[in-house]
Amino acid sequence: MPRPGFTLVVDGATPPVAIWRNGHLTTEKLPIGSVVAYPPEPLTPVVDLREHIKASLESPIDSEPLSKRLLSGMKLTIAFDDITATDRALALPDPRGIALEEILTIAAEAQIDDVELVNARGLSRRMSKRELSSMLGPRITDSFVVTNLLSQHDASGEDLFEVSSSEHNEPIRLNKRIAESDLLIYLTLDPSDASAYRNIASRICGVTTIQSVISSGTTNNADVIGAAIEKQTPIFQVALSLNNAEFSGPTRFLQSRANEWAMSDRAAFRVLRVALDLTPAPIRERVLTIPPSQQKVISVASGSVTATNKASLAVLDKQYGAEESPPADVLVLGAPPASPYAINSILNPLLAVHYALTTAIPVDGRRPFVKEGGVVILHHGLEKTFDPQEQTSFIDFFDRVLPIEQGDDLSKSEEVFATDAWYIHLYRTSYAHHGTLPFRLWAECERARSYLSGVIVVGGDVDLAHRMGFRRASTFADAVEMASDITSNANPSITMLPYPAPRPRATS
Amino acid sequence: MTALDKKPKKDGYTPKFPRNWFPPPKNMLGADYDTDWARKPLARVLRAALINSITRPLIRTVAKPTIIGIDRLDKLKSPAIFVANHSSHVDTSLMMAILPKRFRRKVAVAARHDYIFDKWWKATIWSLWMNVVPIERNKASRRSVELPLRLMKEGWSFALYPEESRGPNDFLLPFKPGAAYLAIKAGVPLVPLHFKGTRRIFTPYSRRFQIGKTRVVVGEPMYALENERPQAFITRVQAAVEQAADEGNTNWWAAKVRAMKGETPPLTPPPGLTGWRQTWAATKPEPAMEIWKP
Repeated sequence: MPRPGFTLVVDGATPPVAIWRNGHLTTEKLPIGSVVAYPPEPLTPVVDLREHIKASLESPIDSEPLSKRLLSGMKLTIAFDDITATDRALALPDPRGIALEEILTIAAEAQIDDVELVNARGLSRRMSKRELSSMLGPRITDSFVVTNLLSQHDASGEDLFEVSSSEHNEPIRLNKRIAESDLLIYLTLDPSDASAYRNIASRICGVTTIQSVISSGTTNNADVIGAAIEKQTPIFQVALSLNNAEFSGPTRFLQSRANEWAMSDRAAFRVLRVALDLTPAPIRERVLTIPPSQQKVISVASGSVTATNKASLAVLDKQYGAEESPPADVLVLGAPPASPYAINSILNPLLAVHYALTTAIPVDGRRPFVKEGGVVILHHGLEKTFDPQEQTSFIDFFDRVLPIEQGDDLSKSEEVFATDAWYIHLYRTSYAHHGTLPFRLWAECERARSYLSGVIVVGGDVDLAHRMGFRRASTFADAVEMASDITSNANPSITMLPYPAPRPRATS
Repeated sequence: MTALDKKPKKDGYTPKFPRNWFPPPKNMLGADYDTDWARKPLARVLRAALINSITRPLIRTVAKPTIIGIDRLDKLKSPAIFVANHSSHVDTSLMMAILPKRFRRKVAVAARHDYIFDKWWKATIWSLWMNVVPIERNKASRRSVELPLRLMKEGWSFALYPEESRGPNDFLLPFKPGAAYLAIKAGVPLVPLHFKGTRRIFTPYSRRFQIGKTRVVVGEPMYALENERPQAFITRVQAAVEQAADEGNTNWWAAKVRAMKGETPPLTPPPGLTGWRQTWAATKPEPAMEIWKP
């Protein structure tokens, strides 16, 4: 039986806690009285995923069974969350491939000829044929990838379909194939607190529509957009919930509790630490983003978008929910070893900061781990490392847009990036993220920054930290000292989040 | 008589020893590509070395073939025409790996003139390695008929894919009667073969080999009946390939009985099954074998 979330209060006997830092593993001795909020242990995955999916499709929530909704002669589109739905690519067989096979089997039995798949990628990069074929499996690859019946959504496309909505200021631009379909089946791994439709609205629409979804304070936009999309094309959603088993096998100890490490775990930690230290930086930066995540499906829900999102969130709360504890003055986070926008690529400073700030200050409806006016300490030796193929716009964002003062209007710069022909060309034909993605991530960071008094980065490039508007400390002890100055509290309460981090409790 | 006195051929290529032991000039490509050099002793020795040292070990490792019915070739005399279903580039290498030595050392493979013979280096490599000869598939040119007939007269066996192309899935494309026409003209038997699993080993969209298992079933050699038309003959051969597949899936006796009753499962898609549903049906996983319980 997996144990629930746990808050470890640091005392004199607590060993130093492992923390990720820019591709390295280090240990940090936390001040006595600090707490470490561990998420629950990974829940047991479903035994027979295919059978679970079949059963769920036949008894959906708030909808007719899928087999009854699929009719011969209809135009069917199946969209699925792309590779950025998780921090790393999932270990094979990818549950998306299995779920799609089951959906397509029902579509084949219903004798639907006009079926197309859409990789719902929003503003993120295209997936390579190899990534697609390993994610979807050989059957779907033979039937859809080779025959060009699978398309990768193009948010900058000129042939997007305009859906008008009285509640939305400007027309909603939607993927044309989806708009013309009789039914959209959406397969998601990524339920959202902000809105049940956030995922759909930010992955299969045009750039301007996505911009209005992924930004601060406009989360309810997704509901309006989602309602308009659903009015145009009915949606049947299949939501798979994953456990948090990021690491397995010999590296499993990385997500176990620090005070429970056995001797073998300590030895493995030392070996891994030395190996990472000895690995040359260019190799280490890439190696960490390559190993697949060992997350497995713990629940399947299908039916209406709102109902499946609610069901998935309930499961995720069980899997990621932290133990109840008051918000701290200072929140300590390590840089994550992986990021959805850096799979098989490099974790750049903006991605690390985005992870830290969105983990610390989640969307409305959840109580942050840190108090308003508190401080976040991020362990990240900031360095300007980017993937020149995938993160072209990130490089220019750092060189041409930063530094940004709080309250600066970035809309003009974002417009330039969003309409830049070169970025659009790279987004459409190469493997680059969209030019506007760094601005959207920054907007989410800004929302968190306005809640905090400061962000302190431990180690790395001073100039880069200042350009991003952060303070920089040489050591963790200095960072705590600086944080106590900022919060005007000689003994600030400190909470540390490990990787993978827990989710805060809902404010209800 | 000096070399200058020799009258050049129409195409401007004057073969003279040892010139004809080497590939033709780079500008000679397509259906006109002269592959005679690849059947000279030097090329044959090199080919045997390549097949024995690279192709066969690689196929044994990557494709792990199970061979059924190879004994049916014991009493067969060369030349013959081997016909098989075609779903991967691995098919030809697999055929080279499983054929008995006496066939393997003297077999030519028919290939599309516009696919293999469009670049001089491709033409050279494939001619040397697999002894491919160019065949025009969209028109019945004289050369495409005369060359195989001449080779069979010289004792060379032939390997042909009557589907003419790798299909989109494992369902058979309709067999074209060219192979049957050649067999009737040359008076040689057609040997039906069925390959299973080769598409997975080297898929049309991948550039990498995937280790897997393959199965080859060799059918009974077949002769044309008296006054049989090529189309009728190739229809019988297609049925024999389907029977070979059935034999692989079941056993010799069950396949034989079903063939006698006309109940051999067809390898062609059911009527009306098109587009993605066809590939979906073709890739349907086989049911897991049930463990016998007393």
